[in-house]
Amino acid sequence: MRKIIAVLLVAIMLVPAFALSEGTIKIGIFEPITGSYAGGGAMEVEGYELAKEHYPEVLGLPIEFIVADSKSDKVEASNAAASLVSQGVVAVLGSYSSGLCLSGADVFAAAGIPTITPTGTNPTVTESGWYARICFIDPQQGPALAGFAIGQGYKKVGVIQEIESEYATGLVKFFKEKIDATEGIEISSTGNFFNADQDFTTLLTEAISKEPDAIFASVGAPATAGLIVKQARELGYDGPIFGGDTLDGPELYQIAGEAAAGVVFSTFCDADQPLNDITARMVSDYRAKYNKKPAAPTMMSYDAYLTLLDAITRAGTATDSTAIRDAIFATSGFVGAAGEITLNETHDAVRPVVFVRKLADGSETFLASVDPE
Amino acid sequence: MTGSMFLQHFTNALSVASLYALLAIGYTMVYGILRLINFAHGEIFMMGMYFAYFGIAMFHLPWFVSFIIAIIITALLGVAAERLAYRPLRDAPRISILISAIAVSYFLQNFATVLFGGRPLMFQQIPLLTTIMQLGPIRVPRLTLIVPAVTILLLVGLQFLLKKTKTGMAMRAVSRDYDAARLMGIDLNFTIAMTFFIGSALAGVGAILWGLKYPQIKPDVGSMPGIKCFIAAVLGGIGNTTGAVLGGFVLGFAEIMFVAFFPAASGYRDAVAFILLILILLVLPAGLLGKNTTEKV
Amino acid sequence: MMSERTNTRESISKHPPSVKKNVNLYSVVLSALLLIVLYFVLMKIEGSANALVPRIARLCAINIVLALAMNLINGFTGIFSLGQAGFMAVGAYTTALLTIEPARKLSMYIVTPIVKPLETLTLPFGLTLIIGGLIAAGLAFLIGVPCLRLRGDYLAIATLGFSEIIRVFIMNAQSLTNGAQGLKSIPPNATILWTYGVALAVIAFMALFTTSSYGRALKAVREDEIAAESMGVSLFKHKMMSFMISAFLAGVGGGLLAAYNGTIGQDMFRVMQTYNVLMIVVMGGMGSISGSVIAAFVVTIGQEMLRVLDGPINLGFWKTSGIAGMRMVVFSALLLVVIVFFRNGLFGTKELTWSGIVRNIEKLAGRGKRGEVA
Repeated sequence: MRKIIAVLLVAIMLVPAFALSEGTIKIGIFEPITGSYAGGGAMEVEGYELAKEHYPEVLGLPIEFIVADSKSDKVEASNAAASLVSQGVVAVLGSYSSGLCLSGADVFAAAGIPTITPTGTNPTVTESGWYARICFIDPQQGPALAGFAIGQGYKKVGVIQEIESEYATGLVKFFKEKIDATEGIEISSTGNFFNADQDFTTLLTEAISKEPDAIFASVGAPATAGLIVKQARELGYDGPIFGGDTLDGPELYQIAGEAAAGVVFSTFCDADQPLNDITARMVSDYRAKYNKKPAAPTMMSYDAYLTLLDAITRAGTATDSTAIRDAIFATSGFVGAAGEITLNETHDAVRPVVFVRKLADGSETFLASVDPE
Repeated sequence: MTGSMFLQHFTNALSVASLYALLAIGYTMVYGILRLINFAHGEIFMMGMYFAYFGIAMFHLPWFVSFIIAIIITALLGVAAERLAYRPLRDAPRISILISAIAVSYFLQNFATVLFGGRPLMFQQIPLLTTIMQLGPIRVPRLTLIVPAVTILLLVGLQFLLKKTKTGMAMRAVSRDYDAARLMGIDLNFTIAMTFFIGSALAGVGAILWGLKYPQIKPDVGSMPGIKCFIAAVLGGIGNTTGAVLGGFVLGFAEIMFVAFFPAASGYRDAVAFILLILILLVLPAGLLGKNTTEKV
Repeated sequence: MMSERTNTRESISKHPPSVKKNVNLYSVVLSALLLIVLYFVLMKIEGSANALVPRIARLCAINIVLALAMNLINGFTGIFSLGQAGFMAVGAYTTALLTIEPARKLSMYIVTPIVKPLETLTLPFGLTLIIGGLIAAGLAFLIGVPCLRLRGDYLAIATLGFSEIIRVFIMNAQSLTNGAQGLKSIPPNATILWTYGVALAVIAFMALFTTSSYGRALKAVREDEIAAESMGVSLFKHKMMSFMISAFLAGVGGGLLAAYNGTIGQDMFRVMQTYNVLMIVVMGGMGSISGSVIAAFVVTIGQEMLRVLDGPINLGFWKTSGIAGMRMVVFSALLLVVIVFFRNGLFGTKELTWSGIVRNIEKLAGRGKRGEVA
């Protein structure tokens, strides 16, 4: 028995690697497909897939995706990045979660592979010299959120943040800076919670007891926001709740249900505000496929793919990574489904922060678009 | 802190604590019999949540039917884990079976990821159970009162089972002295399987109540409750079912009251559980209600 | 365990003293030869065009260090400690903080500025590994004083608890560790030479230490605490020594991991990290150095090779479009099978020695085609 099992074990370990077809352009998809950021990874993969259906070729060659799952884990992420590099990708798209981007950043930089993240907003992501992003950064998003709070006339804001998330704590920092610098508005309480937490009643009871005009929830994933909103409403809080781009995902409404009505969040774009033909095509095809409105991360990942294709076309090569990188960094005035993309000298996109409000039926209404200062 | 606010914190703590207590019983039962920290208990709990979810979402069963079926399947899963991963190691050093438990938990989590996907699913809300009630100055979801009631009810039922039924007495005998019980003609395999059945069924009940309260299901949803409830079981004196419930309440209240009274230190909350655990272990090595045993020479 | 120990004793007594003398000579020669071969293989790997190969090779070496650290306390001393991840975190943060360039440190602490002396302090990589190890060992002393009095499972849970407390502290100590922001741009010092140099040093240390009188005392503690104590072995002292050395090695391993990964965060050091190392130790055999070494290679490379399972598979008759997570299912199922059917791991408490290999070859030759190898 043991011997048979031993032989089987060896046989399974020797599952041969399957050769991939030649004559294609290989693009790496670097996303968390499993683990705590799986929801975010899934939203972005949907965008890549749809974009590839719409634009399957560049320079006359078909595009092939090679997917590496980072398992929402930092060490796995850098190994997944290395595995993409070893499979000969010319460029990489991803990832959701700034922390995971950073784990891959050094690997991609060392191998000289240009990378574009659709939604990694932490400012340090693009420092490696090979990373670009087509979204805004938290030093822009945080003050924009603060500006929203000031504009609404809030006097006291209760903050609860996911203390294990670099995104959530960074966003609160930039938010707080502007609030502290403004007269007549203050942060009434700050509560911390952990990644695996599901019970926020204590933090919320504490925050509500300070009678804030609004609660700012800085979370790592939309599902967490869903739980927070649900529990806040259960505790009888009916004031405004707002947060950053991680609130943008179907899980917020799935979990909070009607309680999500009135929640405001900043995001990259709003599918209900068709900007151009590309938006219209993307949104209608997405609706046909998934029977729902695309979340902003999905539109952003769609655009990340388009941006990369545009750069490859301008570089005129699908093999010279340096040329592709320079073309990506030179992106200026490129129009995608989520709006215009222009990268600045730190390889970050300069674009407005969009505010939307959730409605009782799960749809969103457009509130405002805040241009960068 | 105002009185009504304290009351609100108290009810918040009550529901968390009784969920901890419910899960801690499962740990303690398995430990009592096999001297095994069943690290897979949290994952069995997680699977229970998925079973209940799919019973309603996929097979469109009425919620109570789905819940009962889910509890039974969860219980059988626990029995299967014992049969496949623990029984072959029963005569091995204790550490082997402990490691096997870790591997089972690792496997179930990965298996759930592939089977159900990594994206969070939303547990159904049953209005009958989840409606919010306004009680004077505080707001309480009905569930907050249902959970402690269910926990106490199950504890009483379990005490009856352990003290008055043949299977229960066999369980206690096995837990007291493995070999002597065997010599007395107790069917060891059956008794241990029953222990896992009951322990896992309790995990299934806990999973459903948890899902109703925190309606987010994902493959790693069981890991944190798993560790917390294990701590609760140790606090109470592992191997003692009443102790497990007590430990659950102590832990739940300690955590919530810590955050309630020291909101600025909320970032240290997860350390509280472990500091409490270590303190108890140092002062009362066998837990609050456990019997102190000396190592036999 | 029992039967194996008798086996070893028999095989030692069976084998003639004359052979034993020669063993030393040819084992030295063979070991030297192996090192030379290893050097060339590693150089070949480092020059590999495929970036993944040297990375995984380096990870193998780091896992050897981590597995041996855990094996010392869990396998050789019989103390079931689950605190490894915490000690690794201490080593990783120390190495990271002391090697990152000052300019990068300033730009990375975006929430709270970094504390004063660390702001500009950088030290050579090797030194930071040792400092990290020493801090971890110091911490192990503080944890060990209360914890080592506990027995069995309670000790496991208490150490697990301390490991989590360390993580919570890292998360909150904003100005020291950068909290959730983690540390980035850690210089990639964990080269093939560094990782394998450290791994070989740790292997050599473990081989010498476990056969020394201290090592024998630890094994005595493992087999029977009461008997060991009555033979004059100070339980607490020996347990503490083993615990601290294990923590030191875990700290060094953590430092290597930080340099390997380039970026670290507190979420890397959850309990899962401890389990991952434990799996290597169990697979190789608790109490076997060569077992841990070989298992570190098998597990690290195996996990990477199984990655194909996540992607689309086309076997001609059977196609899938790629199921993320499939490889972890297969991996964990394999692990479970190993644990259930090979409860002592690859080696149990035995070691792979040159004399053993030679003896087996001789036996194989002697027995001819019967094919039974002990």
